[in-house]
Amino acid sequence: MLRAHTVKSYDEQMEKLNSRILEMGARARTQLARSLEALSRRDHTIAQEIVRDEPGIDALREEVDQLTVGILAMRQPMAIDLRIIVTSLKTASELERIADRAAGIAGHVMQLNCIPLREPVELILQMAAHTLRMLDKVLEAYRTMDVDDAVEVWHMDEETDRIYQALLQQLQHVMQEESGTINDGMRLLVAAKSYERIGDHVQNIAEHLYYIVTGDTYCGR
Amino acid sequence: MEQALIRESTGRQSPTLVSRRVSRDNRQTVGDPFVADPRMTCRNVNVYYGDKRAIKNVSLDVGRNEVIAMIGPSGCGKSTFIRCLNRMNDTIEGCRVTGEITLDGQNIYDSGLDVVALRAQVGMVFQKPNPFPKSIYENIAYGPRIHGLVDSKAALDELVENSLKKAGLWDEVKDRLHEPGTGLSGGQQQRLCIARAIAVSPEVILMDEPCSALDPMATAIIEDLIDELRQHYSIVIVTHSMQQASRVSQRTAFFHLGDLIEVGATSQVFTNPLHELTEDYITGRFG
Repeated sequence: MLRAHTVKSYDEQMEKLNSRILEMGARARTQLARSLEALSRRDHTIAQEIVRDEPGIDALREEVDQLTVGILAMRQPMAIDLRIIVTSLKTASELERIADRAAGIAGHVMQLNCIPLREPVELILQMAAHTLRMLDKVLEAYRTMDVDDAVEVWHMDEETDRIYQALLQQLQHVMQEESGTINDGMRLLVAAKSYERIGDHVQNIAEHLYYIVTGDTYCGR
Repeated sequence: MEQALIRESTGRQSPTLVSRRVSRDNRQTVGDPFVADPRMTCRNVNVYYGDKRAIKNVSLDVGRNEVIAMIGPSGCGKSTFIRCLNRMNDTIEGCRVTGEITLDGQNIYDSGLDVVALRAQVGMVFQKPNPFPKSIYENIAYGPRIHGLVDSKAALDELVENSLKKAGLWDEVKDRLHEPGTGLSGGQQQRLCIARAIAVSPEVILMDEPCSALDPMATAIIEDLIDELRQHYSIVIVTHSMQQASRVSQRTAFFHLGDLIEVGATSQVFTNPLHELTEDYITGRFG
């Protein structure tokens, strides 16, 4: 276990940074969960809430940037502190992009007329639920610095990719069969791509966490 | 080394930070203290001040053309250790050194060894600049003269000029070589001391906190100089500044209570140390 810093204010700064990352995580998680709900219920109100709340996450990202630059300048961190600080910047970026993707999905939900695309929608909801589970798990792992869970999350992305490939085939098939589905099909395609990218962002966070704890890079083994 | 790493099981019930660091209780040196073509070798070195054992069985090489930094909390033995490398500890009553230390294969503790010549080969620069109370020129000329390194005034002049140039001081003092060395600024005095060490053709230069009395600009000049001097000499530097160690050295050795705890490439030690004590120290978590 890590001991406390001799300089207490250093610990306070690190704790503040950590709390901002976790807050970003919680908000990104809310946005992702809302996108799933908006999509499953075609609920424009929820979609609008997602778009409305996005700037708050961007502001947190800026705060993380400022905190990390401040700590770097004031403390000249080494070893695990350095790894935490450098990866905080990256993790904040991943979380911001997850929220961006959720907002993008919300935009498409508001445009969907839907839909005779029942099966692809089922798959996309599966993807969304799976990425949400991944995000939950990686945020908990981040909170507890649990490297084993980080590795588990890393491999969970394989399932996201599998569903995505199945979805692509289905959408291609449906759009070929019925040209009237192309508009919505394209929107679903973009949304599916967003969930696939969210899975990648979560996987990246798992890698960052692995690096914090071990100092090594995780590449799947 | 992989085998030396200890990985604590986290367990799902108590998901805590997994540590791949060697435990604080382990006092064995981790990392590789040896290099392929060493300038100096130290094997099983112990230093005693009376009954007190200040250095405990330390083995470490000093490579050619490298800067190796010694870090650790006050009283850890880093200064004691480097003072073994040119037998400066001989001057301390009650101090006893065991083990073997070689320079180019020669045991420097051999009874017949000329200690004065050794201290020319292994020069030293101290925390506080200590120029002789003589002129700038004489500060440099004194060593070569007593060691018989030059046979003419012209050769001595040339040696003084070259030494001052290597120490990055020539342009600042060339017009006042016969003024007192003590009249220079702190940073210039320290470079004068480095020039003085260089003048007797050393192989190794020991630096015991050479910048601790200097301002940041003078420190930067010395650090730049250390990097240049590495082309010609091996440098062993003791520093309390982690940033300085990380800036100037290629390898870092961490001492704690007389034990050499960890040695490794500086980039590794400061980003991913192998031992928990090293991590505690360099991250400011020392109890």
